[in-house]
Amino acid sequence: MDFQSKMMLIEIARRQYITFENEFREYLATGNSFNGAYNHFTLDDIEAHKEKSDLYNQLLAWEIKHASTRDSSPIRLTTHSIVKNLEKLDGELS
Amino acid sequence: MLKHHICHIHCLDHPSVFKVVSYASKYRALFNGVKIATLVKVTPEADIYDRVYSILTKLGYEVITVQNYSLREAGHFFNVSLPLLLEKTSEGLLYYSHSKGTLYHPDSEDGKATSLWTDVLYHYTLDQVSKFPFEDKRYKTFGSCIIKSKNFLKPFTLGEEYSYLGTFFWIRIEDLKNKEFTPEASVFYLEALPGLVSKVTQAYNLGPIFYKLESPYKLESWQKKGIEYGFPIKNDVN
Repeated sequence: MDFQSKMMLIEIARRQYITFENEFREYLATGNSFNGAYNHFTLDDIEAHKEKSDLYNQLLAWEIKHASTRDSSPIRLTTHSIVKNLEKLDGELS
Repeated sequence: MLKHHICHIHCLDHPSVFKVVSYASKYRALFNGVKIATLVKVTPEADIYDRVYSILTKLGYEVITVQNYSLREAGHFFNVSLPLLLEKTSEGLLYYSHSKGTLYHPDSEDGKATSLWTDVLYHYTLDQVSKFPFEDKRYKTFGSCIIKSKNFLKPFTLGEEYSYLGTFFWIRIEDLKNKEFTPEASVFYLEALPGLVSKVTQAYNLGPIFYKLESPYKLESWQKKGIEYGFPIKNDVN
Protein backbone atom coordinates (compact mmCIF):
# COMPACT_ATOMS: atom_id res chain seq x y z
CA MET A 1 0.00 0.00 0.00
CA ASP A 2 1.37 3.40 -0.93
CA PHE A 3 1.86 6.12 1.64
CA GLN A 4 -1.02 8.27 0.37
CA SER A 5 -3.54 5.43 0.69
CA LYS A 6 -2.32 4.50 4.18
CA MET A 7 -2.57 8.12 5.27
CA MET A 8 -6.20 8.28 4.08
CA LEU A 9 -7.08 5.08 5.92
CA ILE A 10 -5.50 6.40 9.10
CA GLU A 11 -7.43 9.68 8.82
CA ILE A 12 -10.70 7.78 8.37
CA ALA A 13 -9.84 5.55 11.36
CA ARG A 14 -9.11 8.62 13.50
CA ARG A 15 -12.66 9.81 12.88
CA GLN A 16 -14.22 6.38 13.35
CA TYR A 17 -12.44 5.11 16.44
CA ILE A 18 -12.08 7.41 19.43
CA THR A 19 -9.48 5.20 21.12
CA PHE A 20 -7.30 5.28 17.99
CA GLU A 21 -7.66 9.04 17.80
CA ASN A 22 -6.52 9.33 21.41
CA GLU A 23 -3.49 7.12 20.80
CA PHE A 24 -2.65 9.06 17.63
CA ARG A 25 -2.76 12.35 19.53
CA GLU A 26 -0.63 10.94 22.31
CA TYR A 27 1.96 9.91 19.73
CA LEU A 28 2.02 13.41 18.30
CA ALA A 29 2.27 14.87 21.79
CA THR A 30 5.55 13.09 22.34
CA GLY A 31 7.13 15.22 19.63
CA ASN A 32 6.56 13.09 16.56
CA SER A 33 5.42 14.58 13.25
CA PHE A 34 2.26 13.69 11.34
CA ASN A 35 4.31 11.90 8.72
CA GLY A 36 6.06 10.00 11.50
CA ALA A 37 2.68 8.98 12.91
CA TYR A 38 1.43 7.84 9.50
CA ASN A 39 4.51 5.66 9.27
CA HIS A 40 4.30 4.45 12.86
CA PHE A 41 0.71 3.17 12.95
CA THR A 42 -0.17 0.05 11.00
CA LEU A 43 -3.38 -1.35 9.56
CA ASP A 44 -3.29 -3.98 12.32
CA ASP A 45 -3.35 -1.16 14.88
CA ILE A 46 -6.49 0.21 13.27
CA GLU A 47 -8.08 -3.24 13.27
CA ALA A 48 -7.35 -3.66 17.00
CA HIS A 49 -9.03 -0.35 17.75
CA LYS A 50 -12.35 -1.43 16.22
CA GLU A 51 -13.03 -3.63 19.27
CA LYS A 52 -11.44 -1.22 21.76
CA SER A 53 -13.53 1.63 20.46
CA ASP A 54 -16.76 -0.39 20.67
CA LEU A 55 -16.06 -1.16 24.32
CA TYR A 56 -15.16 2.46 25.02
CA ASN A 57 -18.42 3.67 23.49
CA GLN A 58 -20.39 1.06 25.42
CA LEU A 59 -18.84 2.18 28.71
CA LEU A 60 -19.42 5.82 27.86
CA ALA A 61 -23.08 5.23 26.97
CA TRP A 62 -23.60 3.22 30.17
CA GLU A 63 -22.12 5.95 32.31
CA ILE A 64 -24.10 8.72 30.64
CA LYS A 65 -27.33 6.76 31.00
CA HIS A 66 -26.79 5.66 34.56
CA ALA A 67 -25.54 9.00 35.79
CA SER A 68 -29.06 10.37 35.51
CA THR A 69 -31.35 7.49 36.33
CA ARG A 70 -31.45 3.99 37.70
CA ASP A 71 -34.90 3.20 36.40
CA SER A 72 -34.16 2.29 32.84
CA SER A 73 -31.35 0.77 30.94
CA PRO A 74 -31.72 0.46 27.18
CA ILE A 75 -28.07 -0.50 26.97
CA ARG A 76 -28.00 -4.26 27.19
CA LEU A 77 -24.79 -5.90 28.22
CA THR A 78 -23.51 -8.37 25.69
CA THR A 79 -20.18 -9.40 27.18
CA HIS A 80 -21.55 -9.88 30.70
CA SER A 81 -25.17 -10.83 30.14
CA ILE A 82 -26.69 -12.90 32.92
CA VAL A 83 -29.61 -14.17 30.85
CA LYS A 84 -28.16 -17.65 30.26
CA ASN A 85 -27.09 -18.00 33.89
CA LEU A 86 -30.57 -17.06 35.08
CA GLU A 87 -32.20 -19.46 32.61
CA LYS A 88 -29.91 -22.27 33.75
CA LEU A 89 -30.56 -21.65 37.46
CA ASP A 90 -34.30 -21.32 36.87
CA GLY A 91 -34.27 -24.60 34.95
CA GLU A 92 -32.34 -26.38 37.70
CA LEU A 93 -34.97 -25.34 40.24
CA SER A 94 -37.89 -26.60 38.19
CA MET B 1 -32.17 -20.80 65.29
CA LEU B 2 -34.36 -19.21 62.64
CA LYS B 3 -32.44 -17.46 59.90
CA HIS B 4 -34.39 -15.05 57.74
CA HIS B 5 -33.32 -13.33 54.55
CA ILE B 6 -34.32 -10.01 53.04
CA CYS B 7 -32.83 -9.04 49.72
CA HIS B 8 -33.35 -6.17 47.34
CA ILE B 9 -32.68 -6.43 43.62
CA HIS B 10 -32.61 -3.84 40.89
CA CYS B 11 -33.53 -6.11 37.97
CA LEU B 12 -31.02 -5.18 35.29
CA ASP B 13 -29.03 -7.49 33.05
CA HIS B 14 -26.02 -7.06 35.31
CA PRO B 15 -23.70 -9.60 37.03
CA SER B 16 -24.47 -8.25 40.52
CA VAL B 17 -28.12 -9.27 40.05
CA PHE B 18 -27.12 -12.85 39.35
CA LYS B 19 -24.93 -12.85 42.44
CA VAL B 20 -27.92 -12.21 44.70
CA VAL B 21 -30.09 -14.98 43.28
CA SER B 22 -27.24 -17.48 42.97
CA TYR B 23 -26.31 -16.97 46.64
CA ALA B 24 -29.98 -17.20 47.61
CA SER B 25 -30.05 -20.54 45.83
CA LYS B 26 -26.70 -21.76 47.14
CA TYR B 27 -27.72 -21.05 50.75
CA ARG B 28 -31.41 -21.94 50.52
CA ALA B 29 -31.01 -24.56 53.23
CA LEU B 30 -29.41 -22.02 55.58
CA PHE B 31 -32.35 -19.62 55.36
CA ASN B 32 -34.98 -21.61 57.26
CA GLY B 33 -37.17 -18.65 58.26
CA VAL B 34 -38.98 -15.87 56.42
CA LYS B 35 -37.61 -14.96 52.99
CA ILE B 36 -38.59 -11.68 51.37
CA ALA B 37 -37.33 -10.03 48.18
CA THR B 38 -38.12 -6.56 46.88
CA LEU B 39 -37.61 -6.19 43.14
CA VAL B 40 -37.37 -3.03 41.06
CA LYS B 41 -38.76 -3.83 37.62
CA VAL B 42 -36.82 -2.08 34.88
CA THR B 43 -39.10 -1.83 31.86
CA PRO B 44 -36.61 -2.45 29.01
CA GLU B 45 -35.25 -5.47 30.85
CA ALA B 46 -38.50 -7.01 32.01
CA ASP B 47 -37.29 -10.47 30.97
CA ILE B 48 -34.64 -10.28 33.70
CA TYR B 49 -37.32 -9.37 36.23
CA ASP B 50 -39.48 -12.32 35.11
CA ARG B 51 -36.58 -14.75 35.47
CA VAL B 52 -35.48 -13.38 38.87
CA TYR B 53 -39.10 -13.48 40.06
CA SER B 54 -39.41 -17.10 38.95
CA ILE B 55 -36.19 -18.20 40.67
CA LEU B 56 -36.94 -16.47 43.96
CA THR B 57 -40.51 -17.75 44.03
CA LYS B 58 -39.24 -21.30 43.56
CA LEU B 59 -36.81 -20.72 46.42
CA GLY B 60 -39.71 -19.79 48.69
CA TYR B 61 -39.30 -16.00 48.73
CA GLU B 62 -42.22 -13.65 49.05
CA VAL B 63 -41.50 -11.35 46.14
CA ILE B 64 -42.69 -7.76 46.15
CA THR B 65 -42.34 -5.45 43.18
CA VAL B 66 -41.42 -1.92 44.23
CA GLN B 67 -40.85 1.39 42.53
CA ASN B 68 -37.41 2.87 42.65
CA TYR B 69 -37.40 6.12 44.57
CA SER B 70 -35.16 8.53 46.35
CA LEU B 71 -34.81 6.61 49.59
CA ARG B 72 -33.34 3.71 47.62
CA GLU B 73 -32.66 0.49 49.51
CA ALA B 74 -33.41 2.06 52.89
CA GLY B 75 -36.92 3.00 51.80
CA HIS B 76 -37.67 -0.48 50.48
CA PHE B 77 -36.31 -2.10 53.60
CA PHE B 78 -37.86 0.07 56.30
CA ASN B 79 -41.18 0.76 54.57
CA VAL B 80 -41.83 -2.57 52.84
CA SER B 81 -39.82 -5.65 53.75
CA LEU B 82 -39.01 -5.06 57.43
CA PRO B 83 -42.66 -4.39 58.51
CA LEU B 84 -43.71 -7.52 56.61
CA LEU B 85 -40.99 -9.57 58.26
CA LEU B 86 -41.96 -8.36 61.74
CA GLU B 87 -45.59 -9.29 61.05
CA LYS B 88 -44.47 -12.86 60.46
CA THR B 89 -41.80 -13.36 63.09
CA SER B 90 -40.38 -11.92 66.27
CA GLU B 91 -37.25 -14.01 66.74
CA GLY B 92 -34.17 -15.23 64.97
CA LEU B 93 -31.54 -13.63 62.81
CA LEU B 94 -31.94 -11.58 59.66
CA TYR B 95 -29.45 -11.60 56.79
CA TYR B 96 -29.68 -8.59 54.50
CA SER B 97 -28.16 -8.30 51.03
CA HIS B 98 -28.83 -6.43 47.80
CA SER B 99 -27.62 -6.23 44.24
CA LYS B 100 -24.70 -3.90 44.33
CA GLY B 101 -23.03 -2.18 41.43
CA THR B 102 -25.81 -2.02 38.87
CA LEU B 103 -24.88 1.61 38.33
CA TYR B 104 -21.53 0.57 36.97
CA HIS B 105 -20.60 -1.22 33.78
CA PRO B 106 -18.73 -4.41 34.76
CA ASP B 107 -15.72 -3.41 32.65
CA SER B 108 -15.35 -0.02 34.31
CA GLU B 109 -12.99 0.48 37.23
CA ASP B 110 -15.90 1.17 39.59
CA GLY B 111 -17.72 -1.90 38.31
CA LYS B 112 -14.75 -4.18 38.94
CA ALA B 113 -14.20 -2.70 42.40
CA THR B 114 -17.84 -3.13 43.38
CA SER B 115 -17.87 -6.69 42.10
CA LEU B 116 -14.84 -7.63 44.16
CA TRP B 117 -16.26 -5.78 47.15
CA THR B 118 -19.45 -7.84 46.88
CA ASP B 119 -17.50 -11.10 46.51
CA VAL B 120 -15.51 -10.33 49.66
CA LEU B 121 -18.67 -9.63 51.64
CA TYR B 122 -20.51 -12.73 50.46
CA HIS B 123 -17.43 -14.79 51.26
CA TYR B 124 -17.20 -13.55 54.84
CA THR B 125 -20.93 -13.47 55.57
CA LEU B 126 -22.19 -16.65 53.86
CA ASP B 127 -19.36 -18.92 52.72
CA GLN B 128 -17.90 -18.70 56.23
CA VAL B 129 -21.18 -18.37 58.10
CA SER B 130 -20.38 -21.33 60.37
CA LYS B 131 -17.68 -19.22 62.04
CA PHE B 132 -20.15 -16.69 63.45
CA PRO B 133 -21.00 -17.18 67.16
CA PHE B 134 -24.72 -16.58 66.64
CA GLU B 135 -25.58 -18.14 70.02
CA ASP B 136 -23.38 -15.65 71.86
CA LYS B 137 -25.77 -12.95 73.07
CA ARG B 138 -22.96 -10.46 73.55
CA TYR B 139 -23.14 -9.81 69.82
CA LYS B 140 -26.02 -8.05 68.11
CA THR B 141 -24.69 -7.85 64.58
CA PHE B 142 -22.41 -10.06 62.48
CA GLY B 143 -20.62 -9.20 59.30
CA SER B 144 -17.39 -8.30 57.63
CA CYS B 145 -15.29 -5.25 56.96
CA ILE B 146 -16.00 -3.07 59.94
CA ILE B 147 -14.27 0.17 59.11
CA LYS B 148 -13.27 3.33 60.86
CA SER B 149 -12.59 6.24 58.63
CA LYS B 150 -13.07 9.84 59.58
CA ASN B 151 -14.01 11.06 56.13
CA PHE B 152 -15.58 8.28 54.15
CA LEU B 153 -17.61 6.54 56.82
CA LYS B 154 -19.55 9.52 58.15
CA PRO B 155 -22.68 9.20 55.98
CA PHE B 156 -22.93 5.48 56.74
CA THR B 157 -22.85 5.56 60.52
CA LEU B 158 -25.05 8.32 61.94
CA GLY B 159 -23.58 7.47 65.31
CA GLU B 160 -21.19 4.65 66.02
CA GLU B 161 -18.25 4.87 63.67
CA TYR B 162 -18.51 1.46 62.16
CA SER B 163 -20.39 -0.29 59.43
CA TYR B 164 -20.55 -3.58 57.61
CA LEU B 165 -19.51 -2.00 54.37
CA GLY B 166 -21.78 -2.90 51.52
CA THR B 167 -24.93 -3.82 53.46
CA PHE B 168 -24.33 -7.51 53.79
CA PHE B 169 -24.83 -8.34 57.45
CA TRP B 170 -26.64 -10.43 60.05
CA ILE B 171 -28.72 -8.72 62.70
CA ARG B 172 -30.91 -10.00 65.53
CA ILE B 173 -34.67 -9.60 65.03
CA GLU B 174 -35.11 -8.67 68.69
CA ASP B 175 -33.07 -5.54 68.06
CA LEU B 176 -35.32 -4.49 65.18
CA LYS B 177 -38.59 -4.90 67.06
CA ASN B 178 -40.27 -1.98 68.79
CA LYS B 179 -37.67 0.43 67.54
CA GLU B 180 -38.40 3.64 65.65
CA PHE B 181 -36.45 4.10 62.44
CA THR B 182 -36.37 7.23 60.33
CA PRO B 183 -35.03 6.18 56.92
CA GLU B 184 -35.67 9.62 55.45
CA ALA B 185 -32.77 10.81 57.60
CA SER B 186 -30.26 9.60 55.03
CA VAL B 187 -30.07 7.68 51.77
CA PHE B 188 -27.40 5.64 53.54
CA TYR B 189 -29.69 4.78 56.43
CA LEU B 190 -29.61 1.07 55.63
CA GLU B 191 -25.83 1.09 55.54
CA ALA B 192 -25.99 2.66 58.99
CA LEU B 193 -28.43 0.11 60.43
CA PRO B 194 -25.89 -2.09 62.28
CA GLY B 195 -24.47 1.00 63.93
CA LEU B 196 -27.95 2.15 64.93
CA VAL B 197 -28.80 -0.99 66.88
CA SER B 198 -25.48 -1.99 68.40
CA LYS B 199 -22.25 -0.53 69.63
CA VAL B 200 -19.05 -1.46 67.89
CA THR B 201 -18.18 -3.80 70.77
CA GLN B 202 -21.42 -5.71 70.11
CA ALA B 203 -20.56 -6.23 66.45
CA TYR B 204 -18.83 -9.44 65.44
CA ASN B 205 -16.46 -8.97 62.54
CA LEU B 206 -15.20 -11.75 60.34
CA GLY B 207 -12.64 -10.89 57.72
CA PRO B 208 -10.56 -7.88 56.79
CA ILE B 209 -10.98 -4.57 58.57
CA PHE B 210 -10.72 -1.61 56.26
CA TYR B 211 -9.51 1.03 58.66
CA LYS B 212 -7.78 3.10 56.02
CA LEU B 213 -9.99 2.56 53.01
CA GLU B 214 -10.46 5.96 51.39
CA SER B 215 -13.19 4.81 49.05
CA PRO B 216 -14.78 1.41 48.42
CA TYR B 217 -14.75 2.12 44.70
CA LYS B 218 -11.05 1.52 44.33
CA LEU B 219 -10.26 -1.87 42.87
CA GLU B 220 -6.66 -1.64 44.00
CA SER B 221 -7.71 -1.32 47.67
CA TRP B 222 -9.84 -4.44 47.55
CA GLN B 223 -7.22 -6.47 45.71
CA LYS B 224 -4.54 -5.41 48.15
CA LYS B 225 -6.67 -6.20 51.21
CA GLY B 226 -7.97 -9.38 49.63
CA ILE B 227 -4.50 -10.72 49.03
CA GLU B 228 -3.38 -9.64 52.49
CA TYR B 229 -6.21 -11.62 54.09
CA GLY B 230 -6.04 -14.59 51.73
CA PHE B 231 -9.38 -13.87 50.13
CA PRO B 232 -9.95 -16.07 47.06
CA ILE B 233 -10.04 -13.30 44.47
CA LYS B 234 -11.39 -15.49 41.68
CA ASN B 235 -15.15 -15.30 41.69
CA ASP B 236 -16.82 -18.69 41.40
CA VAL B 237 -20.32 -17.30 41.07
CA ASN B 238 -20.08 -15.55 37.75
